[in-house]
Amino acid sequence: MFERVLIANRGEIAVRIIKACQELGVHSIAIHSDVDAEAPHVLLADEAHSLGGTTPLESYLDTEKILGIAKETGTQAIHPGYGFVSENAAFAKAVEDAGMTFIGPPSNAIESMGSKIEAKTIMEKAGVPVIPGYHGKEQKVDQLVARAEDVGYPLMVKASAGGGGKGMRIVRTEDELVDALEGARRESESAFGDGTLFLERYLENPRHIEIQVLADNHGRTIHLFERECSIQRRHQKIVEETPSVVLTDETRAAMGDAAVKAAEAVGYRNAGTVEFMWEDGEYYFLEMNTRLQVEHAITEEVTGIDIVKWQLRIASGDKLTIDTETVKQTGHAIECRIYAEDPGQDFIPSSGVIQMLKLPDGLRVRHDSGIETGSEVSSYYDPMIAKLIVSGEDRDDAIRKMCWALNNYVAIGIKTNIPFLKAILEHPAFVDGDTTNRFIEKYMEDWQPQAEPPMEALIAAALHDMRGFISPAATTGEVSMGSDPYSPWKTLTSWRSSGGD
Amino acid sequence: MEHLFEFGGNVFNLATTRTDEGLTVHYQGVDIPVSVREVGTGMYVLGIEGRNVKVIVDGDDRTKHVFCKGDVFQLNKVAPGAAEVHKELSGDLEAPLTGRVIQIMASEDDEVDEKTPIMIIEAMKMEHKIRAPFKGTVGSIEVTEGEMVDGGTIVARVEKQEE
Repeated sequence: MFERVLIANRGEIAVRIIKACQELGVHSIAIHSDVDAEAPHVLLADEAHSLGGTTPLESYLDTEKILGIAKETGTQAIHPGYGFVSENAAFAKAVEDAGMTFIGPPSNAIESMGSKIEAKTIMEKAGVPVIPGYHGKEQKVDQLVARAEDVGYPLMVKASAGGGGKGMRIVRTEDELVDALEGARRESESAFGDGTLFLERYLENPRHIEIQVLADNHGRTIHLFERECSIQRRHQKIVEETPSVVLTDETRAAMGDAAVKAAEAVGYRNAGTVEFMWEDGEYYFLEMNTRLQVEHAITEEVTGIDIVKWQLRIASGDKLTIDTETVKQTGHAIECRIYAEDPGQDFIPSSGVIQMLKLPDGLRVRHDSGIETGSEVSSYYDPMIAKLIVSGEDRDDAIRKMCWALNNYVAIGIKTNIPFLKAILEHPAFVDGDTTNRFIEKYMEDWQPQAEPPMEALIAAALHDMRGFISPAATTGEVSMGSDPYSPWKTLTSWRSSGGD
Repeated sequence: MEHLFEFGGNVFNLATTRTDEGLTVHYQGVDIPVSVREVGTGMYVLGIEGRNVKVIVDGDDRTKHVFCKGDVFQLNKVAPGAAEVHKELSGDLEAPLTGRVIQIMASEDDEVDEKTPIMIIEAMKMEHKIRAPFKGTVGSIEVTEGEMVDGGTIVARVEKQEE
């Protein structure tokens, strides 16, 4: 195992990785921007260094600064988390060249999977099903128009370098195609510096189902089953669960095998995720995420496997000692992503200081978080501030537990998407498992946050205004001990008062 | 004592009188006795009709954040008498948060309807449309495409069309 690992990230994922390092006895090194100088990941790590700057470009994306700190601190390995430099092949290469270990796949695997066209071509060759379409070299508008004939309508225009919905268009009829191609190309060129496009048959009502894989450096690749992540808002996942409600044992096994094949086809190492679209029992390769996923925790909850620790073990050369045959999915896990945003105002990000954070607690309730009471949520970084993860004996149990946990999640000072998450979890269609990619537009389009505060909330606000209000019980010195005459607290109180010291 | 709070664009009004047990609250035409026990800083147990509810409140003189019955409510204090004025929408459009103006869709003197998009500001990796608050004319655009703006900066003005 490594002795010194640098965590090139911030927020909840940096905290998650630092915890794993500390449990393994690895010295953890945090890095941070100026605004994050007192952030939880900085205070938790064994050592922390400033990158300076405020924006991501000046800090967590500045690969030269990160490498400089890594060299100065005698870092042996760098864990990139997700986002920021995690899928930057050039960074992974630079880490390798500097004689350190990048905790992730080899840089060439990142590169192959970063191009969606190349990824699809590799998967087709490896016998992994891909969505029918055209992902070839012909890129002129009239050539793509001709190819669209074979693909058929409706279809999707997508950018090869794309992500997060950029450079993506749905085309329902032929006369919309030219505009869509030109628009997608413009967007993709400005966002990714690459205007290469491909065409894909449009799936009307798909689900997003992904398979977690782990590959060691000794030629073994295994999978840890699926996660269903169909509930998305503006192409951002917000609720994830495992197992999927629609997979049969046969399809699950077939998708697992396909994911292992996909990983092997690109010489994959460490933890990765193969994403599929699923519709009517058929599944198609979508893309491979060459990093730790945000939603990895639900897999950990149903398998008992600590994915982040295995990332560190695999990177340090250990052999995988687990396999898909012995690992079981037990129970059902759900994750809700907590965003600092205002669901009442078109989900605009909400920045500010968290005045109070009181978390739900109990059996199989987990909170992966980059915030605590007093933390400032700034507008410089992603508004996802924490993840609430629960697991239950079955799906129904997990849904009820998540509703309970959301109802007992106190985050005061910023606005959060918790009311929206609750509405999703409580929706009969969610409970029924009609959790397709269209869920939000189908069932949540007209959702509005509660319009009227309960009277108790108004009274609390009035009390806050009348500060110095002392409750009658406190003034008379009486402390209510409840109605149980045999309460140990009563005995304790009398013992204390008679004891003196 | 009179208390006025704005929530979701509406103003809610309650009056309180102190009693031995806590308060008598006058709300929506009814007097309700409420027992109050402060159990920690900003934490109260309210007893209403035999049922205890725990509420948590924090904030400053202007804004109160209250956790109550599973939800957080942000209540803005309104000075008595200001309730009517408060509901009037302003034609001065502010940037909702610090970000970059990525597209301007309207120009000066354009006639706009309520909710017509005026510009898009990108912040925290997401795009936010700034829309006309009412039917009227664009009086001015105060920023240019590509410009960085601080949250609260006035980015455009819309003059209301008189009915």
